[in-house]
Amino acid sequence: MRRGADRYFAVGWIVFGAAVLAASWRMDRLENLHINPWSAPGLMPGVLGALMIVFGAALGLRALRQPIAPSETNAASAARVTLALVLCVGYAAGLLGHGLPFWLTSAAFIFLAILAFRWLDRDAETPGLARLAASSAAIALGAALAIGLLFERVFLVRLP
Amino acid sequence: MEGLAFLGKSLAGLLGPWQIFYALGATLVGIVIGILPGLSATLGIALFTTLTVRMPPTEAILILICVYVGAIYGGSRTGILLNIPGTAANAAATIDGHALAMKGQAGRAMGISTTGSVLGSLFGVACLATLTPALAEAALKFQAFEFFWLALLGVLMSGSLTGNDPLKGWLMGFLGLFTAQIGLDGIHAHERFTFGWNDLTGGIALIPALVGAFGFAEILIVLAEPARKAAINAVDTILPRIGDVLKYWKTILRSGAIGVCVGILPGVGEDMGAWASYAAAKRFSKEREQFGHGSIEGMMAAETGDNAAIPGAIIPALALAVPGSAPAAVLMAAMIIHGVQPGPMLMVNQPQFAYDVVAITLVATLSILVFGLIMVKPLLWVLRVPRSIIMPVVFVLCTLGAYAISARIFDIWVMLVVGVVCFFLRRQGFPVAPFVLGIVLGDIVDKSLRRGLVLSDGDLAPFFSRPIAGALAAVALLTVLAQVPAVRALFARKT
Repeated sequence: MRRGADRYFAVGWIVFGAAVLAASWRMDRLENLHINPWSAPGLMPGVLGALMIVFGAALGLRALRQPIAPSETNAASAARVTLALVLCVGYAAGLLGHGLPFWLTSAAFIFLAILAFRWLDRDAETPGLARLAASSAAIALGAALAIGLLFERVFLVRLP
Repeated sequence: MEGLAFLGKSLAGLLGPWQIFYALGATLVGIVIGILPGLSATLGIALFTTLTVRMPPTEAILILICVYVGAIYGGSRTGILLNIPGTAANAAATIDGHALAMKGQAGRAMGISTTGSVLGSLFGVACLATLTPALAEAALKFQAFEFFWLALLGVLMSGSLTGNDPLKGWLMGFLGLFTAQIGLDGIHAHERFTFGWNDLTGGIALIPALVGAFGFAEILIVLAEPARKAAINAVDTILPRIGDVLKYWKTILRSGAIGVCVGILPGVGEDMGAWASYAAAKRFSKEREQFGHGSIEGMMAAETGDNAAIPGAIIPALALAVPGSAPAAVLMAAMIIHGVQPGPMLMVNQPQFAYDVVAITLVATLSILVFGLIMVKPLLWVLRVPRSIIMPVVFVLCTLGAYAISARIFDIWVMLVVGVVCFFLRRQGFPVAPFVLGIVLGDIVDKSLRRGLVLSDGDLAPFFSRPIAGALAAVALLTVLAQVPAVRALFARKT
């Protein structure tokens, strides 16, 4: 799977390196300030862009020489990743910093995440949905309040 | 003698009740972080950096080093009992540790882990106390040419050794170096790659990037797979045996020396310290056939090696401002946040701080001995807590940790973006440690290259003709060339 994906990643590295190199080349060389030209701000980023192009090309050449293994797509894993991404990004980018109390948003996120993943991982010993929800809510509320108080009162951080 | 006086003063300063409380508490948290698969020493130090930002420097670094030492020590528990190393540094110890557990000797394996970890750390502490001043003095002769190669070598070596594919490791190192170029440049304060965005002017802060790379990405990796139930074997006596120490004293000394040397190499880390010590022990052992099947000697070598690499990795961080491992990189960043400037001038400007670090590492070592003797069995309940409960709580800590240092929502965005990018890159075999080293060393590489070129008026010769710079350049080039198949084939033919 990796060798096939390496071809696409190699293209990504080459394009990114080229973009960095081009942006570095076009960067102001501060000639109006009469600086030493060897201290121009774009020098190091330009070198890094060139290195990314060279090493990205090496990755691509190596991937081209090797056969592509059959793809091992795992739908269950992809669904779990999507769920985790939606919950985490929704909480950190969508809820925090928009005026809602920290303890409330954090408790809601922890509750939903624990409930969802415990339900996905359920086995014969897992309690029913109602008990699972009750225990998840208790953990979520306790954790959110404890973390909020710890940061706000002990470490004197203004909560988002 | 002057060094001993500094060390005595540092030790005396750590004997207060609060300092002992901090040391024991932080070591305990570190052990729990190490026990939990998915949480690394690097993440632990990054999170605690945000929590300790308002504390005095010595107490903050005390907590961070105790978390560091505790996490590397604690990770072997999971390896022994579940065959899943708690941190990458414990992978080598897992081979024989789990084999011993399967024979009903899990407690003995944990005792060996405690013995090896404590002796390895003590060996490393002795080296930290003696080598740091010597290295710092030698480094006073370094100029921009030497620092350029040293920092670049750190990124290249990390790329070569921390993953399975050096090419991908180097690319991640370059990405890290590039990330460090964003914001105001270090010489003319000119904006680079900010696209007029004010939040980017200050650059990508290390802690949010680290929390994303080691925290959020790891959370996604853990949650992507269904949970496996922890089946914990019965644990026999966990008390370390003097007989094991006496029988394998040569292995302990050899592994301690290898661990420290590997730790000193820029960007290599504790996992390589463990593997190199394990390989050397197997090479010289009279019981070679037992390796992989529950070898006491193999387990002792791996645990001594990874813990000796901790002080080893701190040595170049203090003396050269070039960290020996990813956790040491975060530790170095925390020192800078607390107003300490690591590097050759540290022994001139703040010699007491260098000995504070030695004393702190010693205290952390004694703390893991305490917990190794009295808290092994109670700590194992942590393994029974489902990951689906731990990971959402850890994510809230990651989010708040990224935000806490500067109280900027932008840093939460940095954590999310870096985490998602690192998650997908890691799934394709791109290691994260070189990326982190790149972010830490990017400023040194950039400024050293440009200062060197200004000094030589654009002449590249001093980068190769000065003795130390030339030697470092040769090692850096060999590090890359050694991975080129055509060059390897040529060497193989000649030998």
